[in-house]
Amino acid sequence: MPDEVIDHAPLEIADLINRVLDKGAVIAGSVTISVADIDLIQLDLTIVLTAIETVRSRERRAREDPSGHVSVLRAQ
Amino acid sequence: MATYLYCVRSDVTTVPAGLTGVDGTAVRAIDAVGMAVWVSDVSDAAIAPTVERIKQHDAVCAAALAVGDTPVPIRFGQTFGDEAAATTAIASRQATLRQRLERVSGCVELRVVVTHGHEGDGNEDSGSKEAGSSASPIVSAEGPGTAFLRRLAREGRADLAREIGCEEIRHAIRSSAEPLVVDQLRCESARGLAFFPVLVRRPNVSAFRSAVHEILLSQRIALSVLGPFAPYSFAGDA
Repeated sequence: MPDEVIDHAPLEIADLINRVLDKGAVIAGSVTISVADIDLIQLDLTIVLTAIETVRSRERRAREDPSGHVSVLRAQ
Repeated sequence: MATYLYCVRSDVTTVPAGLTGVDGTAVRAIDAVGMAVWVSDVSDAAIAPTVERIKQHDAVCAAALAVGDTPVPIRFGQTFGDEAAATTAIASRQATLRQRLERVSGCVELRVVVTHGHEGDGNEDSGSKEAGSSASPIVSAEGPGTAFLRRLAREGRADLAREIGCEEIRHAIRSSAEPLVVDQLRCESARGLAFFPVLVRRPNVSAFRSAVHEILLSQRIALSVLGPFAPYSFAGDA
């Protein structure tokens, strides 16, 4: 395990959204959620995921190829 | 005014004074065929999801978890025309809801989130670092599976390495901490996270975290244990 200080805030937000939007009992009624169409959530998630993946990418870039070549990550 | 739902519980517990939910609306409890449902009145039946509203919804479920027995949390965004319509809908699903309430009684949800899948330090021969540690009975840091995961990580497949690492950890936990686990679900990958939910009894939360820590001593997977939460993942589709 690397000794590193991890800011858990983005992780917790992403987990919160996964948990509250995707899980829980469905009673029906007027359900406003269609996860694929949530612009605001997607916007916020983009920020969260960018924060996570940017750090990872920088680490990986420095580690794998000092010349600057970067492997392509999965598109979110 | 529309009625917005947060959670269902089997015990009659007073809603904490001043508790607010979505858009700052006051939370109250209504009775539905003997179950207590925490709701609030919202001006519009169409509650568009925002991070703030999701936090507000979760805060109500967390407050419900903090008092009395474990509630069944309801998924974000469910509103009914009025209280009577909500009560009728709850009543129509009472058998399933009671079954869910019984399932989660006395328990909380923890979520094991894998943040790195064997890619933590990028050191090719660092597997030897674990030589003196206690190896998991399920996963060896020296095994071919680990080598495969390292290769994925080197190739930039962090997502896949994370998902496979998540499943490895899940099996290791199931093996080593089984007495502490009431239930667990398979790994999922969503929105950039690989995770799996675990249902544990409230008094066992610390013991479970300790067990995970012990398992991690022999692993090269970085993860976080989040929670305790109301058991969203075990509420099922009532």
